[in-house]
Amino acid sequence: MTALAAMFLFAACEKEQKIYVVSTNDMHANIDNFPQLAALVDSLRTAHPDLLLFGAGDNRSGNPINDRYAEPAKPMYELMNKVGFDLSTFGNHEWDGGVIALRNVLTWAQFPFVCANVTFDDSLQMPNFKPYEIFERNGLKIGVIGGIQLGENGLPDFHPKNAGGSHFRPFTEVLPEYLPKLREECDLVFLLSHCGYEEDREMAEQFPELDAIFGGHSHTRVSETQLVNGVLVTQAEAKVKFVTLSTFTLKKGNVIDKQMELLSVKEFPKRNEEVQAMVDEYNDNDYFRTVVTNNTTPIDNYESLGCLMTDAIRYTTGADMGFQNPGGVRYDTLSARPVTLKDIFALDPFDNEIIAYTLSGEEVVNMMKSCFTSDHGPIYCSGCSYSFKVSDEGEITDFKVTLDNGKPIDPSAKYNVVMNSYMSSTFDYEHEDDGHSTFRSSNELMLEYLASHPEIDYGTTHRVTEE
Amino acid sequence: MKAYVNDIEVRTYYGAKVKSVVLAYCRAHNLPLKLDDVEVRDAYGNIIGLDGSLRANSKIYVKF
Repeated sequence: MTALAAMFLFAACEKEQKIYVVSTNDMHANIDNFPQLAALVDSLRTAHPDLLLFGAGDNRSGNPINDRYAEPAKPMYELMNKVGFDLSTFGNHEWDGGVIALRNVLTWAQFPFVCANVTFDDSLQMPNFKPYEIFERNGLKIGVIGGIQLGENGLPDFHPKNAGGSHFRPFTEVLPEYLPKLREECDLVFLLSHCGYEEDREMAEQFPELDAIFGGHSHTRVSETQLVNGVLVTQAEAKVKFVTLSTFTLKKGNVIDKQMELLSVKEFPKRNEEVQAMVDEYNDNDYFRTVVTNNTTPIDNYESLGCLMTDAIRYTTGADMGFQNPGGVRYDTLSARPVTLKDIFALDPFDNEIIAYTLSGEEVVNMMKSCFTSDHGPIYCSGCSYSFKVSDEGEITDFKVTLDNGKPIDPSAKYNVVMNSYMSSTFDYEHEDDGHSTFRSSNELMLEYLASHPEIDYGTTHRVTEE
Repeated sequence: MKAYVNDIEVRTYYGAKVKSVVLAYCRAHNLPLKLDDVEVRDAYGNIIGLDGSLRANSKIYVKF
């Protein structure tokens, strides 16, 4: 090193240096906020040209315009490229289209993905993905390790069938394999975490050598600087409502200050016109006019449509019985005609997650009866039919459930049952099994069902009899 | 799984989101099932979105 170079380096170390990070998380394909996000990031880049822009996972899933695009999720990645994201980690929803769809995403993204606690089968040839990334800004090195939450089954919160070829380890088990090296090599070490705020705090307690954790998954709105064991832990709620601007001040190679500010995207007064034009084009398409099946006989009642909905969740999950609350069926007629995606989303606008249970026959009957009070009407079902009487006092009596095989339901037998998350939360009946989310939504299962049913005929289907 | 709403135990399905836990709490306490104006915070005082994920034994606080 020449004397002059040494002098410059010394001067640089003496001077305060700042690193700026803009982070967001759980964007869930809310593309309509991207024109403001782009304008906000443009504005911040004017002041801080070297800022880093991170996404902490769950970029997709939540907007059919994106998720059901001809190339699913591509709009989101074209927009993230346009805004100039530097890095993303995986969220559990990145697997919603399966690993092949995930591989497509990695191909489209013009920025790398980091996730240290997942590996893929070599045969998948996953591109553009690594455990960590190192950036250089203002002569400083910034190491960023990515990680994703795992549930009790050792997988992120997605349907296990989507895992194909992905292998996971607990993030806290993996971190010590990377942290010492990155700590030695870098001036700042960050986690880009899709583990949820509580787990992020625990990691901050366990790994104080981290400088910051930019988190996601729990949709937590951290509105002011929070240091946990000296580690900045932050998250910007969800759906591109906010971003976090974090500022790290270093002197002589040491971090002397960490601050964050939550910035509202929705309230930002400007829009990036180029991004607006992209969003307008995505929104103005024929997507909702796509025909998904053909209805052969007119349907003129809620129950028959409820039968269609319950068949869809039962067949696609392999359950013995499927149930639907009457309040969740939002169409009462469907003429004999081609059925479009618009019809499906109008029939079931709530698009709740489907929850699976193992219930005894007695529990099933109690659950079905509870619908009369919880949802003010008789439940719709698949895999069985039932009859009942209403007494003069309004009591439900003579409740008889018959399985599709013609036999009465066995009170002591166990049945695999599926229903939506609203019913899971609001139906009041005793049951031993708490149930578990399938991490798949009712509309997703409906479209899967219809993909193998080019024609439907529910016009005369009835499974509920009031005697 | 168990979660706690306003320090009261709520039983719910594994993988439940904030919305489901709050609805279960409302059902158990005969509160309206409309969540339009509900404010939910975590144990650290942060606002959390209704679609946020929860771990077992999480504590959340709701204001209607």
